[in-house]
Amino acid sequence: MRTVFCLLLAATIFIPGCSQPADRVAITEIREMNQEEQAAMPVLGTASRLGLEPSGPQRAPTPHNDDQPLPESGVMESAPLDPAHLHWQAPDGWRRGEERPMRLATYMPAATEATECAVTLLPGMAGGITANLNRWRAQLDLGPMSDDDILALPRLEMLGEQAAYLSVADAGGTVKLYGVICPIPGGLLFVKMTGPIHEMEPERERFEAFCRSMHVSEEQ
Amino acid sequence: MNILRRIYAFLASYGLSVALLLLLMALVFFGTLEQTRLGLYEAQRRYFESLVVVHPLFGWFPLPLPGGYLLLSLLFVNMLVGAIFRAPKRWRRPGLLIAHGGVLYLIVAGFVAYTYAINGNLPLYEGESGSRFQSYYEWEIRVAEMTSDEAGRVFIIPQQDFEDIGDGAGRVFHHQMLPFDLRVVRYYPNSRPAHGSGAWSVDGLELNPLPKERTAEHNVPGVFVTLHEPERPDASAAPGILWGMERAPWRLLADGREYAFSLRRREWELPFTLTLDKFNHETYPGTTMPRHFSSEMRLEEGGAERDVVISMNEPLRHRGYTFYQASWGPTDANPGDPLYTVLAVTRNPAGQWPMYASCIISFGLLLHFGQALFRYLKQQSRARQAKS
Repeated sequence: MRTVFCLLLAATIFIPGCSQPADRVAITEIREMNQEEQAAMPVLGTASRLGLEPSGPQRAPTPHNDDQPLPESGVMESAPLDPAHLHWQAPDGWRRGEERPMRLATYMPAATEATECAVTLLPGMAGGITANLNRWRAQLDLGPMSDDDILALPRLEMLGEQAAYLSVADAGGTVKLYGVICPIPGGLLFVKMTGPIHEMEPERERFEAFCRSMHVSEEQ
Repeated sequence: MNILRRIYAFLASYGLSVALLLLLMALVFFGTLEQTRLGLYEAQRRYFESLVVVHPLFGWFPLPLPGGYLLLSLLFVNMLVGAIFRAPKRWRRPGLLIAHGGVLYLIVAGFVAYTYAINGNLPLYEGESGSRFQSYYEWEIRVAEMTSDEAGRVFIIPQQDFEDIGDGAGRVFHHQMLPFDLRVVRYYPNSRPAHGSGAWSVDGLELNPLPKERTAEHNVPGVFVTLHEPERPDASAAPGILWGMERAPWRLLADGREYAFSLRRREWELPFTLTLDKFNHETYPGTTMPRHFSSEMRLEEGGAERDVVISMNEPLRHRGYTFYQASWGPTDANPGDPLYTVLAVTRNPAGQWPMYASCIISFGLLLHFGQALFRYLKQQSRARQAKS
C-alpha cells in the first residue's frame, strides 16, 4: 500500500511539469474594459501601428458612431463596397451552404463530397494580396512565392479588375486549391475553392465562370 | 510487486538522497555560472524550473543534467518516504522527524510559489491611482470587444498558452462569445517589425526574430495571428501582426462588431486601489546613493480609505498581496518635478511558508541536539559519580 501511495505521489508531482496546452484552447479569462481604455486605442494602418511610419491620420475609435465599415488600414480611400450590392450567378448544380460568420456565401458543387467554395469580403488590405496567396500555399505545405512570381500569376477578370488567380495542388497531388483575390473599394474579395484533386479539376471552368459572374448592383 | 518494492526501496534510499543533493549542488553551480551568459530569468527557467537541462560544459560539450523541478520533486518523495515513512520512529527523540517535516514543508512552499505566485510592478506618479499591476516578463494577447455605450470585454490569452508554439500550424483559441477563432501561427520571444513579404507578412511587413536579451524585461515579443470562422481553420482568414511595442492595436470588423487585438504585458487586477500621495527620498550626502525612500499611499477598498507607508524593508501586506518599494524616478528630476514610485508586487500564497518552515527546522534541530547534549551531560555526570 505504501509502495502504491509513493508511486502515485511521484506521478502527481511530475505530471504538472510535463503538461502542455492542446491545439485548440478555450479562452477562460475575461476582463471588463471601460470607455477610457477604448479611447486609448487609435485606428492606425499596419506600418504606423508597428512604428515603421509616422502615425498619420487616425479615426475615432468608436466605430458604432460611424456609418462606414472600418478598413484595416485605418484610412478610407473610397466609399467601401456594401456586401449587399455584390451579386453573382452560381453555376448549375452548385448548392448554397449554411450562413457562416465572416463569409458572404459558401457553395458545394454537385457530385462532390469534400469540395467547397467560399466567398469572403474583408475590409482594408486584410494583410495584403501577397501574404494571403502565400498563406493559402502554406495551407498546402507549399513555400511562399516572391513578388515576381505573384506578378506572373494568371489573371481573372472580375469586377472590372485583373485579379490574381492561384491554382495549386499540394506536393502529394491529393488536394487542390483555386483562389482569386480581387481588390474592391474598401477591402479585398476572396473566392477560394478547395477539395480533393479529382473533384476539383472538373469544376475549374465553373469556378472561373462563377468569379467572372460577380458584379455590383444596388438592387437587393 | 517485487519491482514496485524495489522502486519503493530506491526512492527511500540514502543513496538517492546523496545523489540528489550532489546533483542539486552541481545544478546550482552551473546555473549560477550560466546567469552571466543567459541572464537571471532565462537561467532560472532553464536550470531550476525544468525537468532536464543540457549544460554546455566548457562552452561546447553538451552535458545533460536533471533540472531543478525534477530534482526537488524526487527529493520531496525521497524525504517523505525515506525519512518519514520508512525510517524507524524514535518518538522519544522526535527532533530529526520534525526537522525533516520542515524541509518537506519548505519544498512544498517552493512548489506552491512556482505554480501559483505572480510577480509584477505598479508604477505610480504622485496623485495617480492604480488597481492593476503588470508583469516584468510575461505577456498576453488581448482581444477587446469595442462598444460605444457600455463597458466592453477583453478576452485574455496568457503567454504560457502560446509561448511553446513551434514551426507547426500554431494553436487555435476560441470563446463562444467571439464570432471567430484566433490562431496564433508564430510566436517570436524577441522581435522587431521590418519590411518583407514572406508567408508571415501583412501589408508588406513582417516580424524579424531576434536573439533573446540577457535582461528578460528588454525582450519585445511578437505574434503572427489569423482569424477564421469558428472551427473552420481551413477557411479564408484575416492575418495580423501583433507586436509588444506597437502604437495601436490591430482593429477589425467581424460579424458586425469591432475588435481590437494587441500584445501587451500581462496584467492582473487588484481587489483595491492604491493612490500615491507623496514620494519621499533621501540620498547619502554628496552621492546619488539612496539612503531612504518611501511612498505615502492611500488604500481604498469598499468605500473605506486608510493611509499606508511603503518603504525600503517595510513592505505593505494586504489581502495576500505584498508591495515592496522597488524603485523610483525620474532620477534626474529637479526640485519640484513630479516623481513616480515603482512598487514590486507579489501575490504568493506561500509567501510566509519559508519562514514557518525555517522555524520548524530550527525547532527540530534544537530539540535533537539539545537532547543529544542533555544525554551526553547525563552520561558524563554518571561517569563522574561512578569514579567517585
